[in-house]
Amino acid sequence: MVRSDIVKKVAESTGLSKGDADKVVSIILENMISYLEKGEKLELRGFGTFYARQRGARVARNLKTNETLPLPPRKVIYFKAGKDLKVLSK
Amino acid sequence: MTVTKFKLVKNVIDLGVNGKVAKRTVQTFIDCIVDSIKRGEKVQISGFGTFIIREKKERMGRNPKTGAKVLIPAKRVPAFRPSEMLKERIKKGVSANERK
Repeated sequence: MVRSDIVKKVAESTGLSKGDADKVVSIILENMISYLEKGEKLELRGFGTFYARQRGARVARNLKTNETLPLPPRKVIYFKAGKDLKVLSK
Repeated sequence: MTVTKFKLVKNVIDLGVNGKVAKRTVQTFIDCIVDSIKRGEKVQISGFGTFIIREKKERMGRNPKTGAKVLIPAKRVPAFRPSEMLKERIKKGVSANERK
C-alpha cells in the first residue's frame, strides 16, 4: 500500500475530492514531521508512538581508507508500535 | 507536551477544514496503515517512511527470574523505517532550548 491508496480511502470516507484529500493528508504529515523536528513526542493511541532520541557524537572510520571521521551528535527517530498494530496474525 | 491525535485534528481544523472531515482523515489514515500491516502488507508513504513487518525467527530465551530455558516462538513484528528526508530533517531538528 502506498500513499495514494490512503488518499483514495480518505476521499471515500470524507467525501472530499482526491485532490483535496491529498492536500489534507499532506498537511497532517507535514504537521507530524514538524512536531518531531521540534523534539515533541507524537502519540497516536493504539497505533504507536514516534519520538526523536538524541545520539551522542562518536568517531567513525571509513573502512576503505582507514581514515577516522568524527560524527556529530544527532537525533534519530524511533517508532514504538501500539497495541492495535501489535496484534498480528502469525 | 506529547502530541496526540486530537492535536493533529485540531491543527487541521484551524486551517479551515471541516471538523468531521479533519477527524475522519486522521482516523482513516491510521486505519489504512493498521489494516494493511495486519494483512501482512507494508505501507510506503513517500516523504515520511515505510511501515514494514519484520519476521523474527524462533529462538531460545531464558526466564530471568527462574533461569529456565524457554522457546520464544517465531513472530512478526511491525516496524517503521523513516525516509531519508525525514531522517535528514530530524537530524537537524531544533533542540528543546531553541523552541519558542
